[in-house]
Amino acid sequence: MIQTENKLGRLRGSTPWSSWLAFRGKLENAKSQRCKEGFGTYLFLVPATIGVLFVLLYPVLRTLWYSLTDTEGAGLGKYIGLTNYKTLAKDPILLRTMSNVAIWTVGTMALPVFLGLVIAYLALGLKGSAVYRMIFLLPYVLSGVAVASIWFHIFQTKGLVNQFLAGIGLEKYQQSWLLNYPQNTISMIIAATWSGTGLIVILFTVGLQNIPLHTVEAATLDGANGWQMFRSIIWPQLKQIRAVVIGTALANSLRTFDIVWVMTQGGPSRTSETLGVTMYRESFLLNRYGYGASIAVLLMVLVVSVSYFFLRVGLKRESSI
Amino acid sequence: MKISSKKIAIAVVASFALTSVAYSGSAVAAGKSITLNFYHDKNGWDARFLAVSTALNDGVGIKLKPSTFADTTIYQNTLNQAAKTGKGPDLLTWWSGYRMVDGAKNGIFADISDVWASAIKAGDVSPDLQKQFQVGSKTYGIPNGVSFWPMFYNKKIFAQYGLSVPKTWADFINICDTLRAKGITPLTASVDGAWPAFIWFEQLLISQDPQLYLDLTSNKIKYTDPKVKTVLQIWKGMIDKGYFTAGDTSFFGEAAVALMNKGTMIPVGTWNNSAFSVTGGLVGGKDYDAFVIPNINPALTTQSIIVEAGAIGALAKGKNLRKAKVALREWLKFPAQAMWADVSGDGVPNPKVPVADPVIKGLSKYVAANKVNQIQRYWESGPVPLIENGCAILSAFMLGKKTVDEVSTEMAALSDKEWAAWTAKYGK
Repeated sequence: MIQTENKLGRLRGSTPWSSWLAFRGKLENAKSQRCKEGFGTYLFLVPATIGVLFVLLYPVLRTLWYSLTDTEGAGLGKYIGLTNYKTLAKDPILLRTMSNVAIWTVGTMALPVFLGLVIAYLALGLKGSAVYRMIFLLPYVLSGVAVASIWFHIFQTKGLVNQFLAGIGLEKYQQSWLLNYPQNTISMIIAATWSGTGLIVILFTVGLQNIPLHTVEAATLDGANGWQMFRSIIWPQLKQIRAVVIGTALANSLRTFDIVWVMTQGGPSRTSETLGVTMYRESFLLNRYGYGASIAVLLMVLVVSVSYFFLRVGLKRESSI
Repeated sequence: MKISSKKIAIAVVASFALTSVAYSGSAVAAGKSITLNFYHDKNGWDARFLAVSTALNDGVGIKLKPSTFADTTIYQNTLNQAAKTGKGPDLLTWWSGYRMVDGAKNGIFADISDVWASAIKAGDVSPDLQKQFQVGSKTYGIPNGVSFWPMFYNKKIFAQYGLSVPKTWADFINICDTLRAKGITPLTASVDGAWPAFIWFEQLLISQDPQLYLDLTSNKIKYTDPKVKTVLQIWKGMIDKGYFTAGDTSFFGEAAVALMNKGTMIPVGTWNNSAFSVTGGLVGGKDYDAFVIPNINPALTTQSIIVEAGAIGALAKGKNLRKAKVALREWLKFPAQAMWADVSGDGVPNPKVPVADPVIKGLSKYVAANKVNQIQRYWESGPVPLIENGCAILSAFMLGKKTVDEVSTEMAALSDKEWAAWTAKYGK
C-alpha cells in the first residue's frame, strides 16, 4: 500500500494534473479508511442493535401476534385472525376511550405546553429565574403514582378543593370531581399539568436561550413591543424546541395511564378510561391478553402516526422558513 | 481431570450433612429450616403472615418470606406469568369460587386435595368449606380466614342517640333516619376502584331473598327479573334518601376508623376488624361492634350473612412444591390458626381455635345460635368479566347515572354474554 502510494506520488509529481491526482489519491485513501472504520463501527453497533431488536422490536412483534390470538396470558392461545380488532371496533367503550384521549390531547396542549411556554418566557429575564424554574420542576421528579395519590386527596368529594370552596362561601360549586364525566378527566389533566409543566419550562427555556441576541436587539431598535417581539421574533425561532415539546406531549397524552389508574382506575363506570387503561384492564384484570394486545396495537399505531405526521409537518415548515 | 483437595473436603462435608438430615427424620430436628417465598396482595397483612411463619417454623421448620403487591391487577398478572415459568413464589394468596377456576385453569395452583383430606381427617377444617376451593374433583387452596360481612357500628354514638342493634328492617331504617337527622351519614358505600359497588347489591339481595341471590349468581334467573328490580328500587330509595357516603369514600385502615368515629356504619368483611381495633385503637364490644343486617322481607324466618374465604395455594411449578404443601397442612393446624386469629382479630377455618376478639366472638355466636345462612360473596360468585364489568354498571347506578331499568337491562345483557363465554370455555 505504501509502495503504491509512493509510486503514485512520483507519477503525480511529473504531470500538470499533479495536484488533482494528489487530491484523488487522498480521497481514495480516505474512502478506504472509511470502509475499514465503517466495518469496525458496524461491529461495535451489533450488541446495541441486538439489544434494541430484542427489547423493542420483539415485544412489538409478540404483541402483534397476541392480537391475532385468544390468549389469556398463560399460553400462546389460538389464532383467531382479526376477530379481536372486529370486536374492538364494535366495543362501545372505544368511543368513550377515544373521546377521553381527545380531551387529554387538547388538555395537554392547552395547559402544560401553554403554561410551560408562558412561565419560561416570563421567567427568562427575571432575577433568580433558575430558582423559579426549579420550583416548577420539583413535581416532575415525583412518580406518577405519588402525583396521583396527592391529587386524589385534593379532588376527592371530601377533599381540599371542596373544603376550600366551602371555606370561601362557594359551597354551590362543590361537586364530586372524580365521580362525574368529564370533570374527572379534566381534574386528572390538571394533576398531570402540575406534574409535567416543569420539564416543559426547562425545554422552552433552552429554546429561548438559544435565540440569537441580535434578532431581539434589532426588533427592540425597531420599536417592537412585548407581544410583537414574542409573535414575530421569539415564536418563529422556537420552532425546533416547539416540535420536540409538542411532539412529546402529544405522545404522552395519547399514552396516559398511571395518573388515571391510581386516581380513578378509569371509573366510575369506565367513564375516565384512556386507551392505556382499557388495554391494561382487558389484559391484566380480565385476562383477555389477546384483546388487550389489539388495543395496544391500536395505541401504538395512533402514537406513531400522530407523532410522525406532527414531526413531519413541523419539520417541513421549519425547512421552508 | 484433577480434583482438588478442597473440592473433596466440600463433598465429604456435604454428604455428611445430608446423611445427618436424613437420619434425623426432619429438618426441624436437624435445626434446619427452609424459607418459602410467599406473595400476596393484602396490604398491611404481613404481621399476620409472619405470625403464621413463626408457627410453621416451630412445627415443620418452614419460614415464610412475604412480599406484598400493592396493586391487585399487577399481582394477578405476576402470578399468571409465574404459572408459565415457575419463577415466583412457593405460596400465594388468591380468591375462592369462580376466581379460583380461572387461576387453576391458568395453571397457577398445585392440586392440594391430599392436604384437605389430611386436615379434614384430623378435624382441622370443616369439609363444608372445601367446595369453595375446588375445580372439578381437585382442590387448589386452603382458606386464609373465614370472614363474615356484618355491619360495623359505633356503640357510643348508638347509645348517645338511644339506638340499639336492629331486629327488623324498620329498626334499621329508623337508625339510618336518626343518624341522618343528627347530621351523620348513616351508611358507607363506595365505588372507589369499582369493586365495592357489589357490597350493597349483594347485601340487599340476601336481605330480601337469599334464594333470589343464589339463583341470580348461578344464572338461573335474569337480572331483568321483577324481583331483582324490586331490590334495585329499594337500593335507589336508600340512595335518594342520602343514606350513603360519597362514591369516592375509602373505608380501609385509617379511613375506616375516621368513618367509625363519626358514627357512620360500615358493611365490610371482618378481615377489616383490625383496622378498628389495632389501627384505630378502638375497643371491640365497647367502642364499636357488629351486627347481622336484618331481613327486608319479614316473611323470611332466618337471616343471611355474606361469608368470604380467601385462598392460599401453592404454585404448581414452584421449585419447593413438596415443602409448600407441608406448609399448607401445617397452616391449618391449631398453632398457626391460633396465631392468625390473635393477630388478625378475625375468624379462622379451624373449629378447634377459640375466637378471642370480642366482636368476632359475639358475631360468631349470634350466627351459630340463630342458624344464620352463610352465603358466598358476589365477588367470587360468577365469571370474572361479569363481576368486574357488572361492578362498573352498578357504580353508575349508585351515582345516579343509570336507572333501575337501565341497570337491569345492561346487567342482563352482560350476564348472557359472559355466561355464554364461560360455558364455551369451561363447560357448565
